[in-house]
Amino acid sequence: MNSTAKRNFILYCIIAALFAGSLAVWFFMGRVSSDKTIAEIYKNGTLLRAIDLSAVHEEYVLSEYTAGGKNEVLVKQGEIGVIKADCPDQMCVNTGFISSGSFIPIICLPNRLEIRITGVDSDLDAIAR
Amino acid sequence: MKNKFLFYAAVFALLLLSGCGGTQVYAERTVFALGTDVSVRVYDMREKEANLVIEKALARLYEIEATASAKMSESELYYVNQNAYEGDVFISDELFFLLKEGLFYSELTGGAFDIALGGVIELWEAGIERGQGIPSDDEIAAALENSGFEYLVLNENEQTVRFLKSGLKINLGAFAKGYAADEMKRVLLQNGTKNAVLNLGGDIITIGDKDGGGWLIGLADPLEAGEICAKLRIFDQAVVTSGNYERYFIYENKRYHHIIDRKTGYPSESGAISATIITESAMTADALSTALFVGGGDLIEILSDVGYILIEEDMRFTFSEDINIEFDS
Repeated sequence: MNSTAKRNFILYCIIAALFAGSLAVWFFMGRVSSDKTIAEIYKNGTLLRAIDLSAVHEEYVLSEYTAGGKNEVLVKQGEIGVIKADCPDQMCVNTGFISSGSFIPIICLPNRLEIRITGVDSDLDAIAR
Repeated sequence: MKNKFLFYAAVFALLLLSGCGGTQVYAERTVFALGTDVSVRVYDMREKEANLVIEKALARLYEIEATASAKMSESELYYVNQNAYEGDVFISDELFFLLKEGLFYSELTGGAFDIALGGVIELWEAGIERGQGIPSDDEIAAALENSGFEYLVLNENEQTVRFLKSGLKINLGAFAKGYAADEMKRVLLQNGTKNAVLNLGGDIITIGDKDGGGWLIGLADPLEAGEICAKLRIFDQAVVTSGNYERYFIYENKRYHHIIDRKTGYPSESGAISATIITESAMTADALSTALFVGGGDLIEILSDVGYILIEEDMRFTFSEDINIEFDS
């Protein structure tokens, strides 16, 4: 193999590797975003727990305590919501359940609790509300 | 020929690779301030650098909260509310600016947005936030008697404020979030941010144009919790919505939301269920979205310089021609 052929061979290898890498990233990201519905629970902006809602087989209630008070969170397959809270405005309860494709988080302002779905397959950058 | 082919193939492969990720999120923070959730998302910046600029923007947010919060007993506004009837109170540049702008929008909207409704708002907040039911007609009438921007006097030369009614209280709740968003944007820009989204309890302000295609903002559906009813594409602008669907309480089977009409002292019943303003300044958008919600369709004629979307009870949309709005089919 002369030097030009060798150089071209290396370039072909690099291009092939780039294609393979691109396709792998695309394939992997697509699978991750479509297979799982992950709910993240934050207290005062700090991630407390992440729950794979698609892996929930039996529903259960989480009691989340903050400095502000208590929220009871019902975790179901594919859905999550606050069913009871000691906050006075009940905004978190009124939001209802969120699931895959929910852009709007559940927020309890008095208790500084936030529940959001991550990796929502959406082209949206933010929600005005 | 062969070299050209290799060159184009390499460029194509690199474009494909870079396109896989799109614009990456480098840093995001969510905190609670000014009575709401505040998140800052900075793109196209190294994580460490992005976190640093976010910290600077949040520091500015907390400064504004310490000035403009009506609830924090150590805030400057709280002091003004306690003392400005007794005599002129000298105030900071920042609070003077906020009150001056607040008066401007109060006058412009004929009181549909009014920064001096604090007494009435406090009565209703007792119901909403402490579950004490609704105030009586007599309590509302007495609070209204001592409310209104026309009883607030600013002295530009002395940089002072004075109240002409003893129970007057300023509440910047429908205004300070927008101002904070503008100021946080300014701090991010000063520190080299090219693309970012700030979200202050649903008041959105953006920096840059993302990948050149602009930012796609969902508009919360006022009748379906958690859903959106339209999308807006914006470039380096703010979108602020006032609605009756998020903060409310139910008392004796009637729903009471948190946006008060100064004409009645009760939650506004203009027929609007969501009012959105799209413009460069989040402060302007904040004030005018409240005014549009309270004033309803009658307010539209003063909105010539901004984009707007008004949704009424039957989900009828009225919107300005200059906005880029999409509806889900």
